[in-house]
Amino acid sequence: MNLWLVGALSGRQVVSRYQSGFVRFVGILSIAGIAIGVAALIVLRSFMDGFMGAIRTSLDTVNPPVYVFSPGGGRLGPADLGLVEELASTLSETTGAVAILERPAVASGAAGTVAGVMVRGRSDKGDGAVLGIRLAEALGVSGGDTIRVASTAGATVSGMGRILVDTIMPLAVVSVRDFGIDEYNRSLVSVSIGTARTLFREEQTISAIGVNLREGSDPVPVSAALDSLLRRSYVDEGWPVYISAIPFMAFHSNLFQALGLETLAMTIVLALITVVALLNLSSALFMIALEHRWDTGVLRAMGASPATVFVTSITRGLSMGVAGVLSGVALALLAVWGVNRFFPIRLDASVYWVENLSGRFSVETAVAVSMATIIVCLIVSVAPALSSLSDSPAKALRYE
Amino acid sequence: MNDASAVLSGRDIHFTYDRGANALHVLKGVSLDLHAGELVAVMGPSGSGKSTLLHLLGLLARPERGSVFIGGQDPWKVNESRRSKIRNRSLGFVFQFHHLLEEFTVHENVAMPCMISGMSRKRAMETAGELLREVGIMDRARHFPSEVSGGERQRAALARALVMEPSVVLADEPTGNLDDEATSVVENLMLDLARRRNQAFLIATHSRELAQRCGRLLMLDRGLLREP
Repeated sequence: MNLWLVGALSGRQVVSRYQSGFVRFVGILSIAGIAIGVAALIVLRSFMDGFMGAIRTSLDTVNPPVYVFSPGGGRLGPADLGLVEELASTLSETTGAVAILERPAVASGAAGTVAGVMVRGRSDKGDGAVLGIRLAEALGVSGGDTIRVASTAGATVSGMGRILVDTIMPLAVVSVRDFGIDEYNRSLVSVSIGTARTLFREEQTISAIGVNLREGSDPVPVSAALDSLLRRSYVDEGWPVYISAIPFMAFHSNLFQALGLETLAMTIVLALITVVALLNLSSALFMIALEHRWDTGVLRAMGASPATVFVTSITRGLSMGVAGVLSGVALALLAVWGVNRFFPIRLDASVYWVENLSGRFSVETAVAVSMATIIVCLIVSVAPALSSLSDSPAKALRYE
Repeated sequence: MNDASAVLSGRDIHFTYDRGANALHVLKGVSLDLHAGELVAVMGPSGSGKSTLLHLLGLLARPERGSVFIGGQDPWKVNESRRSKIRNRSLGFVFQFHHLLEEFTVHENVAMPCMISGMSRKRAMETAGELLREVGIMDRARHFPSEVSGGERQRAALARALVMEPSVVLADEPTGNLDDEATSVVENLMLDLARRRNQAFLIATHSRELAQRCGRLLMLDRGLLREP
């Protein structure tokens, strides 16, 4: 079988100017249908991946990837931190542990503005406070200003009905930061653990321990391994209380599961639309086979075997599918880039957590969608290919 | 019995077009032998079954009854793939309406049987080039069929039929669609090539002039083949 001939026959007959305008139109329409279907699938996945990725990145930026805490709400202490540091050092993916003390508080800024805040003290932070961008706006402060933070931990109500707070502490704002997540931007005050302990008068207490990982490490297996080591150290040695290690994202697993389900549902709907486009390809291939029935008779008269005719017809379907897929991928790339570059999508951060929705073109997704489409193209090409063999060469030659 | 020296034989060939109650029995026991280098014309009125006979002898359809032998072998005893090879190597076709593939150049059309046989494109094009020179249209090689005249298209079709050097060429009214001048050129070329290359030609035609220039004339009438 001469591959050039098979390729030329299938390729040239798809775009042949000698076949009827209607068949050519249907052929182009089915390629366009595949392209739109493939592009829609890739664009959908790009923006859903981009949305989930933006949330993950923002959460990762602010929080350590692995969290060690007491599931019963118990307080942790220096001994726990020491143990976690020791156990984490046995795992090659970890780079260290940080103590975290996190408590709610009230902050006041310029001109008596007041906001409820979450003060997070970390052992790897320096002096001063880093504020979320929306919180800074609400308090009317910027880098270099001072805010006053009141701890609500020891608040009491006086006989006159006034709230008496335990500690009020001035904090220098060293910077204002976009944490990515609206909730953090509106409430987070990041300080050193020493500052947090002074504010909350908790000299030894740690609310959680964060474990940092090397770039690219997957927090799920690391947290499972660390959790297993912690269980062995506490429960297996008879201690009544144990601490647990989980990947930070597990705190938001419901959100990601819901988003995953939504993505799956939309993918199925768009995949069905693509299947309709592929069925249209089948119709177009039937029409092209009918239009070239006479050519098939000539080829058979010249000695082309049924296998050659079949492979040529399948290749025709495949080439139309590949043309559609390549156009679809290009269209998706263009759409994702164009939206990111020229038409950025703004979201209501109080609803969606993040303010910008940007698409992340994934090569893996594009390859998976393309391969699946091409496989279905091959399947839908079989019936038209068999139809081109249904007539004897003599019957095909009489067809004019 | 088939004639062992014949390059193509048909024995007691019957064929019916199945149209329900109006079944048309076009061939009612046709037999003939064609020898190397022989030029045979088949004449008969329209609808007498000339094209059908050529299709059956050319293995494009199976006789309802009777046998066809190519080089003494019954091609209907082998599978379709082998039969396709026999068609490719031993038979050449020239049709009334050139039947060149419009999407391919004249040169590619002529090279097509070689490529179907598995020959590389380069070699097939070289072989086709020699034939195009022989039929005098090398200067039209790069043109598409729609860009050349009817006579040139038919010369290309003739070159295509001969490019694999088949033992038999079956020509179905090869000049039936041409003007007088082109008819004369194609007929002269066809007869000249047939004699020079010692290939057997079976030509279905309405042209008495062409038939008289062939070595043997057969009439197809009421489903039977006879000498005039």
